Amino acid sequence: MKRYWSAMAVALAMAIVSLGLSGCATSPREGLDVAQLPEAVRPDYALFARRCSKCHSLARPLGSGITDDSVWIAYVDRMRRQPGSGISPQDAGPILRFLHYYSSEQRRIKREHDEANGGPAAPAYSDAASPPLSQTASRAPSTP
Amino acid sequence: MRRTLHTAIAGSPLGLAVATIVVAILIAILASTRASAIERNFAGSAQLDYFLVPAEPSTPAPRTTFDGFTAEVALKLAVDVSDHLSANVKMCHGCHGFELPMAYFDYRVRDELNFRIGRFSPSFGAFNVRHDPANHATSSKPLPYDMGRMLRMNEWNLGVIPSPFPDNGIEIGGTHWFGDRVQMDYAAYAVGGFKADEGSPDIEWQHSTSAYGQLQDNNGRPAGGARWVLTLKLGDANDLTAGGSIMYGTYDPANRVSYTIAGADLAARLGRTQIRFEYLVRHQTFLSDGTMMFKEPIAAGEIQAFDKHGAYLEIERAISDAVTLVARADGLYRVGNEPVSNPLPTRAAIFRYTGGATLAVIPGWRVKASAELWAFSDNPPIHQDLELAMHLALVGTF
Repeated sequence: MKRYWSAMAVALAMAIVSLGLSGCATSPREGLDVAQLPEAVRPDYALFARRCSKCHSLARPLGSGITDDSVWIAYVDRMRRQPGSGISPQDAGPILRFLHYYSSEQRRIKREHDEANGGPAAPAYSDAASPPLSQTASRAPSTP
Repeated sequence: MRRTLHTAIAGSPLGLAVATIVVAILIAILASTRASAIERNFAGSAQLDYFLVPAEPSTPAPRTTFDGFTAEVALKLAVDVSDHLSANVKMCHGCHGFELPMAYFDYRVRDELNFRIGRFSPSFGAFNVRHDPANHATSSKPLPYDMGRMLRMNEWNLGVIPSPFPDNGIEIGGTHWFGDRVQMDYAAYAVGGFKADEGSPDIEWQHSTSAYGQLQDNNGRPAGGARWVLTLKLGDANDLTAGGSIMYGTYDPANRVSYTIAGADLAARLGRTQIRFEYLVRHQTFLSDGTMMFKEPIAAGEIQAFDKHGAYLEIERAISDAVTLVARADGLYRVGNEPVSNPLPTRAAIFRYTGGATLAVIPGWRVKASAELWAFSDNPPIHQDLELAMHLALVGTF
């Protein structure tokens, strides 16, 4: 019985910590808030979200820290060749278009943060205080 | 006398062919590599899981229960050396200590022809590509793929095939799209294969781990296998994937006993719902060297066989951007002779029913919680013992 209760206490503590972490996050989610994305980007994001969540969470690519188009091209190409990926050669274009937009936003937010604070910034995906992505929609390039 | 894999390769026509391929690939690599083209991607995952099994161990012969904290950490570096060549190295730390599950080169001639050389998990089954704790919703793996988290693990000696199961060798594979709707993947490989000491009645997984320090083959005869997968896209948000896998090898130093593992898998993605089913079976021969007593008498030098079947059905549904629910039913069934020292009877089964959820707590991090009802049977399909177990885990990726 002692073993049981000590284990339950540990499990409860973990649950409390988890809920605490949950409370700290402004909008905990696996992907991005579609409502915050510009209209033109949403179809590309929808395809990215569908294809890239089949084998892993969207946190994998979104939290990867990649901001270079050439790295994304190689990354998506590698994922496309995974068995059963469901990512066709035709899918790669819209997915890369979204990732180019996303990377551009990451770079912009970091640059603006650096200019304002004189220090490095966290990427938008993990920074609840960052401005919404939609505020810079007009600057998003259409193709990588 | 033991022959290592490389001595076997060097002294056979197959070895000469493999060596020729390797040299050709190296020449192609040198010809195509530009230093400025190298791209590197660093990724990783970590999971801390608490496995709670409330029941006290039974006496006088308690069966194995492994509960407590488990931490699994993985770090991976993928390097795209050129458009055709990439390298992957992955280090992880888990139940078996430090492991090197990936250390290989991929040389891609085109999508339809890729050469993989080094240490990797051969293509077998659908779950293997999701084996990382960050890539599946439950804390535990399906029983057919269990590699040490299951109740009564010692009696069962793992599931049908552990996942991942890194090995050293070469794999030739590829992917081909028929239009925009049909994807076909295929792979064939030769690796060292599972191992065991002389006289062992089953494979000994520890012999394949980096921690064991025995990364050469124990019998100089590669194991071979193949996998084939077909994916159909059914509309924008739905797809259906079916696959089949086969593997054959010998596992003793003298190449007298063998294993054949076969698997079939079917997965459907219907909007935000994923349904996965897999069936695996391992047919394995074993030899009595006269030093071990078996439940059914066996003469010294006689070869017998057992079969181990495993299957799981899993349904995963994302009910919001933050919450995913998962339900799974899985099991194992073993039939065949056993050493008398093992409490497992010659016919035994496990059924497990799992319900769980994941909650995104901060970007990249999730809490996983699941409850498992285990039903053990020494006379299937009647359940003799029930046990409840729970998992609570925090998992993150970067």
